[in-house]
Amino acid sequence: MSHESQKTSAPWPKRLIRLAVLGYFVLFALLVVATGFLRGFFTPPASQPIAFPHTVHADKLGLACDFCHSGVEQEASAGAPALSLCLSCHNSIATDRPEIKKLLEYERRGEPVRWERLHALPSFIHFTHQRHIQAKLTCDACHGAVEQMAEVRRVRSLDMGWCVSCHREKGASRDCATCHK
Amino acid sequence: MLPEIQNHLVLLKWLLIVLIALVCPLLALMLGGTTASLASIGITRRTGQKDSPAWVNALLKRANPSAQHDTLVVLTVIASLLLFKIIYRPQLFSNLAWAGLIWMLATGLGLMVACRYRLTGRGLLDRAALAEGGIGVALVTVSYFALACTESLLLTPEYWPRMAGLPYLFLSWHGLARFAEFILLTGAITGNALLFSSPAQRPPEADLPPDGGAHRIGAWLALGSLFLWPVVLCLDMALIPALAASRLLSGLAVLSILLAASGVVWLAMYLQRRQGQFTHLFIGIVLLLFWCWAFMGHVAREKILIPATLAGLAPKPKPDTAKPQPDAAKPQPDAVARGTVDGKSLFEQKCTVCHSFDQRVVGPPLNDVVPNYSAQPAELKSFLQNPVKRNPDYPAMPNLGLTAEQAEAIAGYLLQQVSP
Ligand code: HEC
Ligand code: HEC
Ligand code: HEC
Ligand code: HEC
Ligand code: HEC
Ligand code: HEC
Repeated sequence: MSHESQKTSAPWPKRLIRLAVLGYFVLFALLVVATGFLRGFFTPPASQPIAFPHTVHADKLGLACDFCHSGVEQEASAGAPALSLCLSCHNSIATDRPEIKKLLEYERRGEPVRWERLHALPSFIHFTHQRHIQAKLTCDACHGAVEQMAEVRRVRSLDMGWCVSCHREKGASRDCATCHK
Repeated sequence: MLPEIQNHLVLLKWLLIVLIALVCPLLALMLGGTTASLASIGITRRTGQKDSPAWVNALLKRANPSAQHDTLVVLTVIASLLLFKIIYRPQLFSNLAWAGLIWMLATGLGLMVACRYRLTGRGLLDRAALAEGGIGVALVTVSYFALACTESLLLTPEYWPRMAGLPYLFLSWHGLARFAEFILLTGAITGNALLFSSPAQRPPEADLPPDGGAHRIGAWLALGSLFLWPVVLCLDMALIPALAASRLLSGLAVLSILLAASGVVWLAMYLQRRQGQFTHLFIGIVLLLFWCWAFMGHVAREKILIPATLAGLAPKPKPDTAKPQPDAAKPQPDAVARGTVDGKSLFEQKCTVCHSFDQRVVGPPLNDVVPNYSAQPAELKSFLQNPVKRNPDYPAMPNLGLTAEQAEAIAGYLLQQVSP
């Protein structure tokens, strides 16, 4: 950057350069925001229809995970519990709380609770809980300490790299057809 | 983790972020200053000159002004690394690797400091000092790279348990982006030091002093670093694990781009000699950029490393063979920790939601059902451990995952309560 040339340069290319520099930074600022949008940084996590606390049920009451997620050992998906299961207790427990009133309201309308799915693999992936539970993996290996979460959140990426790195460590199959339909 | 640490975790995290914010600019200045000085000495030696330009000494003195200052930097680096390990579940990093990293960083810094004292003391034709400085710079760079990758592996915890066994997983693309960011910040702060280390601030009208072009190099270094900043930042945002990202993080990223832009504007004005007097403004901008960057790391860690995640990742004790259902039935940690199993408190903790002795709640009144078992306590124990459907008037009792000991204690308590 020679000082002579700066002194003699006409104002308009200078202005152009200034604009270009400004544009450059603004462009990248927008790009960062756009990346955020595309990767879903700004969408808040879906809130559940009923604020169900795992802390109370799985930790304080000590209910086993498969008491509610009964499909986890036999079926492919763990599944959310049926309303009737909740009501086996909540017909008489804490019926005055707003969240439980909502629950009873579902019962009155004869409508199932539509829980928001937090964990969802793409449809071309073949995943069963059964095989993993049989391999003596505990729930928290993949879901974190759910019993300590007042509101469940995903703690793992569910990316292919995640599946494969564990399969490599445990010596499970890494053939593409194992997981890809 | 010690309970005291658990109790003060938030405080410790803030301490860590303050330490990082303090030490990173100093570390960067030491690294950049030494590198720039060594490079310039190398060049002057090659061209056969005897003396290094005065700005080299000035720069070296600016990068590590005094023995106390240098000791402080090294100690702060060590302290923040130790704190990092304490806060983020020590058992997930191997002690050996962490100690090695600390040793490498401290040695590198020590060598750089030694090199500075030799060079400013004895003049420059000291090969040993040059080699010392070079090794120091290399050590610090390599260990910072390892650190950046570790930091971003913290954000993708799925790799944690495997880190010890598979060293190649140590490299992560996001870590690489963070490392590049640090290098750019180093460039910016070194450029700043070069700009203002040249002897005697020139009056605005004077020509360039014979400073070996330090001024120009400094300006270009800072300008180039600031210009590259948004590119690398975009890369960072594209690579960061989605679970670690948040609105705040994106906001900070945009803020840092704005800071870089204002740095460029300031530099342009300075180079046109319009406002040479506000030299503190530029170092202020660079420092803000540093802090913004350090805080971004903190925000990302806070988003993903919630205690429940960490708890799920902690290595578990070897499965207890006596336990009937190792998967579903986890004993309550507090009950186990107490050692003695107390039937009464266990009952109050686990059963009173559904049972009372004298009336129907969810389950039957215990005064009615428990006496059936007074002849065969073992039956009661096995029912508690593995409830089966009994009375069609009631829903099934869930399996509460009691251990054999707990069931025994509760059964004893119940039978004792209902016996007349
Ligand atoms: C009392 C019944 C109950 C028990 C016991 C229970 N859960 Fe759940 N769980 C639910 C309900 C209801 C939901 C859906 C609402 C929600 O996500 O908060 C759910 C959601 C989840 C989800 C999120 C699923 C998704 O993708 O949306 C996970 C993971 C999970 N539970 C794991 C566990 C684990 C692990 C345990 C044992 C420590 C456990 N649960 C114990 C009722 C239960
Ligand atoms: C084993 C019996 C049991 C089952 C089954 C059960 N709960 Fe609960 N639930 C409890 C108990 C006990 C409490 C704690 C009440 C208290 O705080 O006193 C509770 C608390 C709650 C609360 C918090 C209420 C509040 O605002 O404090 C919600 C919400 C809730 N349960 C929802 C559900 C849902 C939804 C299901 C079905 C998936 C379910 N529960 C199944 C026993 C049960
Ligand atoms: C090997 C890792 C792994 C283990 C171990 C594991 N899960 Fe899952 N879990 C997953 C994955 C992956 C999904 C997403 C599945 C899908 O989208 O089909 C999931 C989904 C779920 C869901 C919600 C979606 C569904 O399938 O209905 C629940 C509930 C759940 N898991 C509970 C559990 C419980 C309870 C345990 C412990 C008994 C457990 N998981 C153990 C990986 C695991
Ligand atoms: C925490 C470790 C772990 C993770 C994470 C994990 N798995 Fe597995 N998986 C295993 C183990 C161990 C086995 C072997 C089970 C066996 O041999 O019966 C297995 C088996 C399987 C099988 C059956 C293999 C066969 O031979 O039929 C499939 C399919 C599978 N996993 C899919 C997945 C997918 C998809 C994911 C990611 C969403 C995943 N797994 C994540 C540990 C893991
Ligand atoms: C252990 C299970 C597992 C194995 C083995 C595996 N994958 Fe995958 N793969 C996955 C999962 C899970 C995803 C979905 C990741 C996501 O949600 O983005 C995936 C996604 C992909 C995608 C991206 C698809 C898309 O549309 O985004 C490609 C390509 C792919 N896998 C190729 C392969 C190839 C090639 C192999 C064999 C070398 C292989 N995978 C083996 C689990 C596996
Ligand atoms: C989720 C609610 C619930 C909890 C928690 C619970 N129970 Fe029950 N319990 C029931 C129900 C419902 C029945 C009736 C089962 C049946 O008749 O099939 C029952 C039945 C029983 C019976 C009678 C069995 C028989 O032979 O008829 C005993 C004894 C008992 N429970 C003890 C306990 C003890 C001790 C605890 C605490 C460790 C406990 N229960 C926790 C719901 C619960």
